[in-house]
Amino acid sequence: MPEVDLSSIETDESLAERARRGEREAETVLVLRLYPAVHSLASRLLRDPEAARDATQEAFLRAFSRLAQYNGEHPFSAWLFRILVNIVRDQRRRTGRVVPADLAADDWADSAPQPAEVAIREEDVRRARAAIDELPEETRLAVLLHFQQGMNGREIGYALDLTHQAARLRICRGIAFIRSRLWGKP
Amino acid sequence: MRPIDDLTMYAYGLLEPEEELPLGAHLKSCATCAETVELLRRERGVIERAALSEEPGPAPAALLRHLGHRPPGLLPRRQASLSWAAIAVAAVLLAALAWLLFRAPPPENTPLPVAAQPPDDLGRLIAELRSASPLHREIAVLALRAYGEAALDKIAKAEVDPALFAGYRLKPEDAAVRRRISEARVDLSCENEKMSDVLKKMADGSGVTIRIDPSFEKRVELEKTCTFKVKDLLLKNSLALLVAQIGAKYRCEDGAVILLDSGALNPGPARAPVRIGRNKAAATRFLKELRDDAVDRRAEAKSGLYRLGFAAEDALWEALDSKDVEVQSSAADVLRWLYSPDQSGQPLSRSASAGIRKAAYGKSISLDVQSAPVTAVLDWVRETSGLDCRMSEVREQDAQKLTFVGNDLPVHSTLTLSLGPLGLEARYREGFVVVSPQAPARVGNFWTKPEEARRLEGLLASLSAPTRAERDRAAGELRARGEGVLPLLRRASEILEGDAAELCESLYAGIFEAVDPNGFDEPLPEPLRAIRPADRSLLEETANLDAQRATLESLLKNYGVRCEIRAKAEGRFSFKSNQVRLGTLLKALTYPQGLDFYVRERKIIVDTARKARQAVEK
Repeated sequence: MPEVDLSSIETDESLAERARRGEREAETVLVLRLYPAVHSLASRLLRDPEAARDATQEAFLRAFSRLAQYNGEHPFSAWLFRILVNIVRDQRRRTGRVVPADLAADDWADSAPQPAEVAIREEDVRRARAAIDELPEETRLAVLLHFQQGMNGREIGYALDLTHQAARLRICRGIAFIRSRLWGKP
Repeated sequence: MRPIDDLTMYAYGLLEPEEELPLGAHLKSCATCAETVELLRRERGVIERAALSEEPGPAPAALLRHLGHRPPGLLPRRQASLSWAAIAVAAVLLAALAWLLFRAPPPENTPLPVAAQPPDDLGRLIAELRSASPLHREIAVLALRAYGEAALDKIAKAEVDPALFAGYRLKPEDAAVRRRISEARVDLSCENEKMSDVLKKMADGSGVTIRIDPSFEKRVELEKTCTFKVKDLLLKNSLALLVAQIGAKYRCEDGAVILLDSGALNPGPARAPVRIGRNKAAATRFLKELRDDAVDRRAEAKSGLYRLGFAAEDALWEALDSKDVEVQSSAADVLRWLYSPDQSGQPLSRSASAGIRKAAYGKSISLDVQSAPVTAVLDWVRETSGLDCRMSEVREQDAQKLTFVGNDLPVHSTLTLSLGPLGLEARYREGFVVVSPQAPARVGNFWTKPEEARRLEGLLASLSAPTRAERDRAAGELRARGEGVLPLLRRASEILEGDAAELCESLYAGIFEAVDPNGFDEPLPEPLRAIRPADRSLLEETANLDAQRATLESLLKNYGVRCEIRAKAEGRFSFKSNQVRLGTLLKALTYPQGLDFYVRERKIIVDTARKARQAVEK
């Protein structure tokens, strides 16, 4: 009933649906809303401001030209990130850059941090940032989608074309690697 | 001890809800794992922060032009600086006003000040929308939405980034039209007629203009035929029934009823929080303790901030810029809670939700479902009991399935027992039942009409006034409000200090004794239950129950815990459900009998709600 409204603000999915029906204003809102997130991810992946901006624009243009293919099964942002990931992968293929697919078992810590170690300070944040940059690209993608974009295992699996268990495992390995860099191996 | 990967996934929020439950239960009984999870959560704070990028600029105009739009409406700098100037001028004027008010005691017949600190809260929040920090902007949007229609004018005039309020209606409701549709009645009998014709008949018959919102015009199927028959039904209810068929809802704007997309967000009614003093010193102390190495100390500090509520507001906003991740994220958590009145707000008066609560305790229903969608079950409960049930903040509503058999159980018991295993629970608000996740029910704020909020703030502030006459007048007015200020006085006695706190306590006690004691046979709010962590694990015990006209006492035996029932508990219950938490069972079966429970020395005690309250309060 209209007296009490418990709904939230208009969702990305509803905006995408409006955009699909030709409402240009909905595209604008989506760009304004999602550009920072997509650009952040692209920046961390490509580490080149120009390339990141190009990839972000390309992702939006591709998304809006293929809106008919978006079926609403996953969040619109996950679909957009999937497009961005493909753009980045294409770019890597074109430049012939080889990146390690995943972490080797020796690379990560397999025990929890000790109490004295976890004092959250700027220095730790800096080390964690460096550790993220050291991650193999596919692991870094999963880690950034989770921590930067707040996506869950299922959404990340969709964006990276993995099962959600594989996506979760990849994040866990990424965390363990960062942990080993942060607090040292046991 | 569980494998580190499992604990990591739990602490980092990577588990599915069904995986989370058993691990959550394990943590309650395994101190080592619980401690590890706590460390992992702190570690998560570090990684989350590290994952954030430098904030990118706004979407480039080139992209928007490419899409065929004008560049985004960035704020003209001149507007921004004008607003800051206006805020500065307002601050000076307020300071002058405060000085005038407090420099000398007011004469006997001077009316009480409306509010000790009539702050330009909305102005400050609007300014926060322009902050460079996304966290500031996010919380400011949440706060402004909480103010509902009270904030619309300021938002509309502020020319802020429209994306921040995308889908949010910035026009206030037209009270005259709303009144009209709440009074007019409709007789309509349309069979296989076009929607446009039905709407026209409805408009002609009631004399109310009905229009389609421009953003909705292209999508609404007015040519669709429908059958619509109502007799002597209020126009507002007729409209709600009709527009639901085309995925629309309505609002009263510009002298007409406007049909719009059901996804559009209507602002809530104009409201404002009642701020019970400000205690920045205490808040700063708690924020400092959030950096302590001891986990318990930090947890206590965060609880302290929740306890202070709006009294900590200023310090919390400042803490959003802290370099310490834990301080920053805790401050954000508490601010989000403050500005979520549907979650954290409690009614000023108990009687506001008493009607729906009593109905849920008194009406009985039978339910027998296997893997049924919760949405369908709630529809059925609504139809059978006549109680308006809604879901709020439940993700993937259609994926939530429940299995439950219950015969002739109170609606409250049915909902509590059946929704419990899904991590959901029913709460009672004014006129409806809200089903939402079992988030820690931490209530403690009061939101009411802005003018009433300012009045109450003024009265509470006057309890600390320098003259006795002023204090007495404020106390007299609060006393005269009776039951309607009891929860407020209780919170004020926790937040205020010195004589003002004592005065609140004595006012509370006086009013409490004077009102109808039967009105207080209600369950204790969670914060009052004050259960120690060790005792709380007792309530997490689970059992598979198959009851046939069983008493509460016999059901409690399934849990193998010590119980004492000190009041008559004659209700008999028939239901079948697995993995029922002891806490859920007690809430489900004691409340409708006017009983409540608490835990003392690992023993469950069931008593009348009034006695339970007195025991806990002691």
